[in-house]
Amino acid sequence: MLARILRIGVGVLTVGGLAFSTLVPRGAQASANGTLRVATTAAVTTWDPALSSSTEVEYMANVYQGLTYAGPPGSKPLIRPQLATKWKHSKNGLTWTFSLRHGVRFHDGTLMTAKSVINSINHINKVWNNGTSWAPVKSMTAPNKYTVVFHLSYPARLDYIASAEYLSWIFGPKALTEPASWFAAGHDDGTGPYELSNYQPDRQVVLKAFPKYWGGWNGSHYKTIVSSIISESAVQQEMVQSGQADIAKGIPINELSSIKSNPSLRAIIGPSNFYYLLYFNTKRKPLNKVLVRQALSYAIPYQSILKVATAGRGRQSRGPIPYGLYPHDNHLKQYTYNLAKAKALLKKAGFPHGGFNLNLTYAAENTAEAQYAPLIKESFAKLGVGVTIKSLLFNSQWALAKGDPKSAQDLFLLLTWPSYDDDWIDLQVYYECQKTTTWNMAYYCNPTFDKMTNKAIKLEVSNPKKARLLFHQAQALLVKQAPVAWLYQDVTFFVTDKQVAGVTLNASYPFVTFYYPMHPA
Amino acid sequence: MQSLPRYVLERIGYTLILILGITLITFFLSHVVPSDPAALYAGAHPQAAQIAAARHRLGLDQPLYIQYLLFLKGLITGNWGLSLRTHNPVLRDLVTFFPPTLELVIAATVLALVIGVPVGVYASAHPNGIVDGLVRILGASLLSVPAFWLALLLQIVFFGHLHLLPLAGDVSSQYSQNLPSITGFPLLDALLTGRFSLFLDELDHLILPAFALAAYPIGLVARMTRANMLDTLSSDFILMARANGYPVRKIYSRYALKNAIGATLTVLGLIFAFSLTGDFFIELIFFWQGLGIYAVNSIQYLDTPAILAVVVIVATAYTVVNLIVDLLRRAIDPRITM
Repeated sequence: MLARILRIGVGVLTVGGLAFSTLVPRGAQASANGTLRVATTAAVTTWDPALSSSTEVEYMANVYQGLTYAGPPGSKPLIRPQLATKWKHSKNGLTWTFSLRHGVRFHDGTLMTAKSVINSINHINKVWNNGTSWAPVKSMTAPNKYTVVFHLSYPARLDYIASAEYLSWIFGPKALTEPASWFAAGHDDGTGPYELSNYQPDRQVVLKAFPKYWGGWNGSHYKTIVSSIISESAVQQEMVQSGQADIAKGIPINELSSIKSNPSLRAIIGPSNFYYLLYFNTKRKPLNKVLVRQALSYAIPYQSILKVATAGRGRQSRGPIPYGLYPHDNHLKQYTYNLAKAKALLKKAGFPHGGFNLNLTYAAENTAEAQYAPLIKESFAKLGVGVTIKSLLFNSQWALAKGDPKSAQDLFLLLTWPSYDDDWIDLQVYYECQKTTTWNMAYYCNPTFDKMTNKAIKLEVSNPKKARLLFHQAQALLVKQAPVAWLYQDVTFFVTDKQVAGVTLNASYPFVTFYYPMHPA
Repeated sequence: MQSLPRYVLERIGYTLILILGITLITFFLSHVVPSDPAALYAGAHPQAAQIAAARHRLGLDQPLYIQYLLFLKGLITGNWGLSLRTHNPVLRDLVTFFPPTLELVIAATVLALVIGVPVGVYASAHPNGIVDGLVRILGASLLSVPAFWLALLLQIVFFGHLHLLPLAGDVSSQYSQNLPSITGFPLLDALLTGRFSLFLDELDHLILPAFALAAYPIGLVARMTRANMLDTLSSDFILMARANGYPVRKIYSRYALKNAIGATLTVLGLIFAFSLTGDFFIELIFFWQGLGIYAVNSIQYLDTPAILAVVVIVATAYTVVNLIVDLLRRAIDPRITM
C-alpha cells in the first residue's frame, strides 16, 4: 500500500510539475506599462543617504539629488544646477552662497528649503565626525527660505563637492529622524524623479516615479524601474537575450561580439572614471629607487592589458587624474612599453640582469586584474625580475597593505574612482604623506609634493590659474618619481534591448545609470 | 534507557556547548584573516576619518575578548550584530534569507524520499534485473554529476529549448513587487494569503532548483535503500514472514522497509543540514536568494557578524535535524534506545 502511494506520488510530482509550467502564465517577455527591467550587480549596503558610500549609489542617484550636478567629464559647463539654481563665492573662497530651486518637494511631501539643506549637511558631518568632503564647512546660515550661505574654514570648490555621488544628497525630515529600520525596510526621503517603492535585500529594488517631481513628467519616461540584483554575468546575459531584462549591467565586455550578433540588443560603451593603478612599495628594496620604478613602468605592457581587460576600448592613463577631470594634465609624460629603455634604466640602477623578486597582490573578486596580472609578471620576467602573484579578497589585500610597509606587498593592484569631478582630492588621498596608511599603498612621502598640492588647494578658488599650474607641477613630479604605474582608464559597458531609448552616459557618476531620460523607443 | 524529555534536554545542552565552541573558534579565526571590518562598513571608498567613525560605532575599538563577550550576550538577547555588508541587523537578514533556502531544501528532501525510496525498494524487489541495473547506473550518475552542471543543463533544456520552466528567480516579475510576508516562507505565505496564482508561480520556479539539488540525495537514497533492503530481505524474520504467507507488499513496506530505512534517514538528515549552505551553487545559478548566497557573500566580504550568525544557524540546524532523525528512528523502530 505504501509503495503504491509512493509510486503515485512520484508520478504526480513529476507530471504535475511540468503541467504547472504550462498553466502558470510566464512573466512578460517585454517591458510593459512603462516598466524598465534592469539586471544589475549593485547590492545595497544602506538606504541612509548620510551613510551611503557603496554600490547602492546606482539607485540613490535616481532617488536623491544634490545642490549641483556634474555633467560628463569635459562637458561645459561641468557643474550644473540641480537643487540649487545658482551660486557664487567670495574672492577668497571662504563664503559660498547657493540659491535654491523653489517648489521642490521631498518624497514625504514636505517642501525643500534652506533649512533642509543645512540639516542634511549638518547631519552628514555629525555622522562622519566631519570626515567627509564637507569638512571645510565651518557653519551655514539661511538669510531667507531659499538661500544658504556656507562659511568655510578654508577655501574649497563647494560646487564640485555638492555634486559628489556620495554624501552630498539633500534629504527630507524623515531621513533625519527615522531609525535605521525605516531605511532597511526600503524607504527614502529624497527629491529625485523616483522614489523607493520596494526593496528585497540582495534580490530586487523597485523605483516608482514620484508624481510631484520638480522636473515634471512631460514626454515619455519609464514610470517603474525594477532592478534585479544578480551577481552572475551569465544569468544576466541569458535574461537580456531572452527578453526577461531590458538592461543588463554586469556583462563583461569580452562578450561584446556575442551581444552584437543579437539583432534585438544594443551594446552601450562609453568612457568611465574607473581606473587602475599599480602601486610600487617605495619602502622596500629595490623599489625604493626611482630608477627601478621608472624601469618597471617602462616594462608594463599597457596595450596588451587594454586588449585583455577592456577589449581594446579603454585608454592608457596619463598621470594620476583621469581624463576630463580637474586637474588632469594632457601634457604629462606617459610611460610606454619599452623593454630596451627599461633594461637601460635597471642597469643604471645597478640591476643589469634584474635578479630580484616582487610580490604582487590583486583583488580576487576583480576578474580584470586576474586577467592582466600574469601579463605584468610575464613582461617583468624579460628583465630578470620575478613576480609572485597573490590573489586575495580585496578586504584582505587592503588590510595587509595597511600594515607595516616593510613586510607588505611589493606591488599592489587597485581599481579606484573619484568621488567627484574636482579630483585633486585623489592627489592627497593616494600620494600624500600619511602617518597611518589608508590609500597610499606606495607609502610615498615627498614633502615637496605635499607642499605643492596644499598650496594649490588653497588657491583653487581665489587663483584657479595658479592652482592648476601648481597641480600640474605636482603631478609632473609624481610621474617622474613613479611611486605608481597608472595603468588604464576603464570603459562603461552595458547591454540594452533596442526598445530602450534615451540612454545617457555620465562618467562623473561611476556605477550610476540615470533612468529619468530613458523611455520606450 | 533515559526518558525522552531528558534526552532532548541533554541534546539541547550539547548544542549550546557546540555553539559556544564553534563561535569561539570562528570569532578568533576571523580576526586572524587580515581585514578591517570598520573599513568594510564605511563603504567602497572610505577615508581615514570615516573608517575611524565606523570603528567606534561598531565597538571595534574594544579589546577582542570584550567584543566576543558582547557577541555572546547579543546571541542571548537577540542582538546578533550589524552586517558589515548590508548594514542590517544580522537577525533580520537571516529571517529574510533562511526561509527560501529551507523551502528549497525541504522540497529537495521530499523529492529524494518520494523518488529515491520507492525506486530503491523496487530495485531490491527485482535484484539483478534490467530495472535494478538501470537504477544502479542512474543512482551512480546522480551521485557523481556535479550539481551546478546539472543545474545549467536543466536550464538549457527546460528553459532554453523547451520553454517549459523559468530560467531563474523564485517568482515572476509581475508578482515580485507585491509579495506577501507573514512567515517569510514564500510558498506558505502565498497559501496563507489565498494567492493561488502566486503559489503556482512560485512552485513553478521551485521545480528546477529543487530537482538540481535533489539529484545527489535521490541517487544516495535509492542506492542506500536498495542495499539496506536487500540486506534486510535476507533476514530470518523476513523468511519466516514469507513462509507464513504474508502478502509481499506488506513484507516489503511494513517489515523490511521499516528496518532498512533507518540509516538512510540518518544520511538524509545530514544532507539536509549540509544543504542549508552547501547549496549555494544552486542558489547562484538559479538566482535563489537564500542562506547559501548570503553566506558566500558574507565570507567574500569578510562580514564577521554575518559569518558568525550563519555558523550558529548551521550548527543549530545540524543538531536539530539529527535530533529529529533520532526521534523518527525511535518512532519507526522502538528497539532503538536513547
